[in-house]
Amino acid sequence: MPTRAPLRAYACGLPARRGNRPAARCGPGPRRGSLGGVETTGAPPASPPASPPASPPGSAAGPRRRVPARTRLDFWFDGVLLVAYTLAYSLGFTGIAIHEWLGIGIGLALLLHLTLHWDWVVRTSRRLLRRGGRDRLIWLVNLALLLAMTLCVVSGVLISQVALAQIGLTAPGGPFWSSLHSLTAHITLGLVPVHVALRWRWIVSVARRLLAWRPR
Amino acid sequence: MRFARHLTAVLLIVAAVVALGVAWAHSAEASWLAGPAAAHPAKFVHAEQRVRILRASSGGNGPGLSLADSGDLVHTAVVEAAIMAVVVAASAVRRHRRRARRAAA
Repeated sequence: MPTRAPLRAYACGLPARRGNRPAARCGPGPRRGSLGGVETTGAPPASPPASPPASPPGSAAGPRRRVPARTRLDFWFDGVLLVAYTLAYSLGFTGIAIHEWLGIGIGLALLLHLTLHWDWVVRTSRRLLRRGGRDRLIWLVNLALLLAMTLCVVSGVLISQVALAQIGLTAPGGPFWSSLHSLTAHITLGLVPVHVALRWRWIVSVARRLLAWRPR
Repeated sequence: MRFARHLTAVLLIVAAVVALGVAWAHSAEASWLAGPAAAHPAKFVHAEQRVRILRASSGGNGPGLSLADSGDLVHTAVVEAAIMAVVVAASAVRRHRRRARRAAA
């Protein structure tokens, strides 16, 4: 059984009386109690860390800590989104039909992604309006990404060559939407990695817990 | 209920962004992006779009995955990884400095 101190991000979910950081500094997720009593992005719930070991004592892998369902959903859903985005951007690899359908799917998935993190959006926006805050850079990147990604998906639908035709619709197209699609696609390629990397501590901590791997 | 409320808010914001895009397309500023040909969309196919579509269709697999052209995928992944590495490094350096300042204080 490893006896190392818990990961910093994991400590966010533990009660304050145990000397951990306050929840307000533990990531962008909504406060405990929203969405069925689980934390979203950035912090696990207040459940005790003890859980049945996933591997025999003394093995390289530590015990598998319980990861809240909502955190697992965020992690895997966002991971799939990133992979889908990478594929969709690689038009030469996917071909036009997969590119277009992936783009439409990503558009719908982004609606869900934003909905799942709406608490963070509202809370951070209020905090920024009041007195500025630590999440200002992340908020600005996310806002730019929302604008760019929305326009990219919409312009992509409007210049669709295959997907709309397959469902019997005709895309209006036009040079403006083509140019906008190219421009916003390039912008998103710059912003998506920044969006992901600004949460790298949360990603690493959740990945470690999901994979039950901790450095010796 | 809570989810529906949040989804409604998200849809409203997305609709506002789309409306801004449509307004831009119909404004005089549209030529800034699409050039003077924006006034005659039927006669004009944007060069980059043509190139990309031709490139995609020349993969040999038609509309499906073109494993022979995985260089495009690798290029995208490398660009993403490079940007992520820069951001993570900058974040780590900033954090390190902040800790050092706190320790010194």
